[in-house]
Amino acid sequence: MTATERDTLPGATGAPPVLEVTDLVKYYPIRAGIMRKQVGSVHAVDGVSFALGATETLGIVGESGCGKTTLGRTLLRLVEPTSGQVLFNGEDVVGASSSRMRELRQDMQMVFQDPFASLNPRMPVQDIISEPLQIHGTDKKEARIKARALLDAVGLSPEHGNRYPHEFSGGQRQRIGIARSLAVNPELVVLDEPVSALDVSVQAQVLNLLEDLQEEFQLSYLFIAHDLSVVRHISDRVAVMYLGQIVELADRDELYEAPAHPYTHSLLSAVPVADPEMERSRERIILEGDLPSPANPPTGCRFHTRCPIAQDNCVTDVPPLAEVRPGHWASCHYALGPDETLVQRVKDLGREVHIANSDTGVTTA
Amino acid sequence: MTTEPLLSVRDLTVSFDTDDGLVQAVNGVSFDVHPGETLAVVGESGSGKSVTAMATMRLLPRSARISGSITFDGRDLLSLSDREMRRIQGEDIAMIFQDPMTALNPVFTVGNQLAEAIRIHHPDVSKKAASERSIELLEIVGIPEPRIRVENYPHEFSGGMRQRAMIAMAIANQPKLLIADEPTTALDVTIQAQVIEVMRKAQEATGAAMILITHDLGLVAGVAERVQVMYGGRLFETGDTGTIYYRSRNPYTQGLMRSIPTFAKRTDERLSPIPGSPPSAINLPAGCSFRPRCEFAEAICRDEEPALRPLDPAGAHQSRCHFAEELPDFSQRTAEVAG
Repeated sequence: MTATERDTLPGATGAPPVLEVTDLVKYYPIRAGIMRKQVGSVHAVDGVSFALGATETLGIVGESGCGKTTLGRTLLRLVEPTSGQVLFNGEDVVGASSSRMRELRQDMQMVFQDPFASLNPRMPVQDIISEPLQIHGTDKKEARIKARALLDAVGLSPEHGNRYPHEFSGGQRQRIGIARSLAVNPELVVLDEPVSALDVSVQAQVLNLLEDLQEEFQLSYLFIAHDLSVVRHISDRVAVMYLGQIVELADRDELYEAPAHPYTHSLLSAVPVADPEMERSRERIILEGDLPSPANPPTGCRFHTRCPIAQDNCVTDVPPLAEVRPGHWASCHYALGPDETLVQRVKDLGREVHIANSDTGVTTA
Repeated sequence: MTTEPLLSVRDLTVSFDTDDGLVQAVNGVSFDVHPGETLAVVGESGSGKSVTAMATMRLLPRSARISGSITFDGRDLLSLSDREMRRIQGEDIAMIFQDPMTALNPVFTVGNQLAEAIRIHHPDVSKKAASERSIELLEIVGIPEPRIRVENYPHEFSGGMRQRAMIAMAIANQPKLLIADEPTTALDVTIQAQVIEVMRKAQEATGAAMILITHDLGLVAGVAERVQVMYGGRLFETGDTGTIYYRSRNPYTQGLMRSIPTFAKRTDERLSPIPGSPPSAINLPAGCSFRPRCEFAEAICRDEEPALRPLDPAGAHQSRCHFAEELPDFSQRTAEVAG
C-alpha cells in the first residue's frame, strides 16, 4: 500500500487520535549458511496503517503468525520497525531518541500474556509494581504508597504487597501485571493476549477490571487477542489481520454482523458458539489448507490461496485497504455487501466449498 | 440409554502424595459411556478432567493412588496386568492429545509410525498391507497427497496436519473408545474447524465412542451428546447437551456459562464472572467445594457436602447442589449470527 493520508487512516473517527500508524513494516531476516548470509525475510508486519482514538479500544484479531504480537511490540519499539511511521499524540515515536523514548514509555505501556513469565519471581509484588515508578524517578516510599493504591484498584488487597508472585493465582498475577503497567499513569496500554492464559471464570473478572480501569484512568487500549468473542466484548472497533496485514477494520458490531472480507467471514464461521441449537443449525465454511508462511507470502491478495471466491486478478493485484462502507475498511477486490453471506456468494459463483453442519454432516455447495 | 455401557467408571478416586500434602485430584467420580456416543467432560484447570481420562487409560504415574473401578467392555481395567493393558491401549482405547508431538516420534516417518501402530496389535498384517492402510488413514483425516505425505517426518507437517496424523494413528485399529484431551486447544480457529470435522469423520468411520475433554464450551455445544461438568475433582452436573446449556440446575455450570463472552451476541452488558478462583486440590473447602464462590450458598453448604442427585426419574440429569430445584432458570441462548 502506498502512503496513506493521515486524515484518512483506517479507523480514524474524527476524534483526536492518540496513536496514528502509517505503513508500518517489520521484516525479520532469515539467515543461513556459515556466513549467516541473509537469504530472505519474514514479513511479520507488512504495511499496517490505522488510527486509535483517545479512550477507545481497538481490538486486533488474527491467527498465529498474522503479526499481531509483532505489531504491538513494534509500536512501543520493543522491536525496531523496518520502516513506517508511528505518531503518539502527534509525536514521532520511530525517530525518537532513546532518552525521549524512555519518557514516552511512561505513556505507552504493555501487558503481556503470560502472568507467570512476566513477573520477577524474587521480588515482592509491591516492588514489582513500584519499580517502573522508581525507574522514572519517584522516591521509594512514595512509590510504595502508590503501589498499594494500585493493588486496591486492581481488586487485590494492599496487604498482599509483601507477597511474592508464586503466592498468587493466574488471574491475580495478571492483575499484578496490569497494576504495574498502570503505575506510571500511561495513556495507551497495549494488551497482548491478556486473558488467554486464564480460566474461563477468571477471564471475565479481568475483562471487567480492564473496562473499569479504562474509565477510571481514561486509558486507550490496543487489545491483541486470537479469541474473537473476547475481542467483540471489549473493543469499540476491531481490526482483522492476515499474514502481516490488516484485511478488515470496522466498528465492532458492523464487523461481526456484516463482515466484508471473505477471510473475516470464514474466521467468524469457524468459531464455535456455546449454544447447541444454533451451533448445530448453522452452516460453517471450512477453509481449505493451512496458513501460508509469512516468509513467503502469496502474491496479489495474500488470502487468494484459501479464498473460496478468488478470481484471476486476486493472484496478481494487491487489493488496497479501502473504505467499502462509511467507517468500514476492507482489502478485497470482491468485498461482500452488508446483507450478503459468503456461502451465498460462493453458490452464486457456482463454486464448490466445504460447508460443515453438525446435523446434516459435511456437505458441499 | 438402553444399551450396555462400553465404559463404566464407578467411584473413581485419584490422589497424589506431594511435598505439599495429599492432592485429591479426582474424588468419587462415576459415569458411563455408551457405544458410539460423544461425552464431553468440561472443567477449568485443576477440575480433575484430564486425570480422570489418564486414569481410564492407565497412564498415570505409579505414585498415583487410584481406587474405584473402571470397567471397559466387561473387563476391569484397574486389575489388568501392564501387559494386558498395553494390548487395550491403542487397540480398543486410543487417545488424542493436545500436543501431537507427544504422540509422534520425530525420528520416524509418519507412514512408519502408522504401520507400526497397526502391526504391533496385528502382527499378521503384512508390511505392504500396513503401509497401504497408512495411506488410507491419512486420506480419511484429509491429508492432501497421502501417498507422498506418508514418507514425511512429523516436522515436515504443519501443526494442523500433525494433529490429523495423530488422529489417523488413534483410529488405526478401529478403537471402540477415543479419548480426546483438549484436541484443538493449540490450534487456530480455522484449523480447529478442520480438525473437528476430521474427528467427526474418524468417529463415523470407526463407530467409536468419544470422551472429549475440554474447557471450550463452544466446541462442546457442537459435538457432544452428553456433558459432564467437573469442579474440584468432583462431578457437579451431568446431562444431555441441551439440558446442560438450556436448563442447567447447578450454580457452577450456570456461572461458567454466564462468564463466557459470545461473539454471536450484541452486548454492552458487563460479564458476570464467578468471583474468586478454582480451588486448590490440596486444600478443598469443607462442605460444597464451590461454596466460597457461590452466590446461593447457605449455612448447610458449609456443613454438608451435597450429593450428585438425579433430577429426573431416569437420572439423565444430575446435579450436585442442595438447592438444585430452587435455582433460578438459566439458558445459554444467543441470537442468530451471520455465517
